[in-house]
Amino acid sequence: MFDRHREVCLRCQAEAAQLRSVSRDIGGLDDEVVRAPGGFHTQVMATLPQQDASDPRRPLVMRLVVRRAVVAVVVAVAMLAAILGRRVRRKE
Amino acid sequence: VTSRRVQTDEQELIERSKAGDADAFGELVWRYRDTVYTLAVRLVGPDLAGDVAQEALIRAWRAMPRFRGEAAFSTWLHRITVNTAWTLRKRAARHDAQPLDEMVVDTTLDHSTGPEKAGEMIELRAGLRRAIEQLTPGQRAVLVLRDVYGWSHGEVARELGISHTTAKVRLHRARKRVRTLLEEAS
Repeated sequence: MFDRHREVCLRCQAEAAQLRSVSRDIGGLDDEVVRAPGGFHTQVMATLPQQDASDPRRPLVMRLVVRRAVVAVVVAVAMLAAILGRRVRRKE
Repeated sequence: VTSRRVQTDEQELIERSKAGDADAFGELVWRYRDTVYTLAVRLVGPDLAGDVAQEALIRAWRAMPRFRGEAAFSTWLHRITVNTAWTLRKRAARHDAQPLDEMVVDTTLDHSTGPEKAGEMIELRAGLRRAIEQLTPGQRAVLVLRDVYGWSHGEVARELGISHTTAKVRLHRARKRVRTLLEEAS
């Protein structure tokens, strides 16, 4: 619907052209390199831990979901244990 | 021939790193340190870039055994850097950024068009960098990955954990904001 509107709206066409121009200019920054500070390599190498199989790209949301699920399971198990313990004590 | 040799050499370094050879990984860190650092600066600003780049390389080292080579090593490193920056973005929002102009920036700017044109280009680029630094972390990430690195909307959305539509909306707003900031500055 928006595309159809843009076909006839000169203002939107002009804005789209301006934004394309901004995008092209920003694209020109791709050949710039910011040098890492001196000692960066040494610093990284000094802090290398043991290798493991965790996925570094696992999104933060996923990690939070897993962490919350683990907490929920632990709480559920603790509550169940408390209920069962109370029942056992009552029977005694 | 040289390029192929470098590639073969890199493949060997990757295989050795996957097997836990820290020296081989150290060579890869040496080769990619500026690339990773540059992306980190663009995503979170200069103050946090060192932390992000370091953390990204440590994460990469940990994950080396899982690197299958489906994407180029540089692409894989970029994705880890983006994810690390995204994770640390809240810290980034609390920092007052040091201007990027004060940092060492190497560029292959074409000076054959004359000093005046080259001067204009340098000024434009400085203005763009300043404008990008003023965007929100979310807008900045989308804009940098799409417009500077040429990622697709799908890749940007996937790596940042946002929807396709959100990525597009943020990109549109980011470009508009950059344009406004450039207009205000000129």
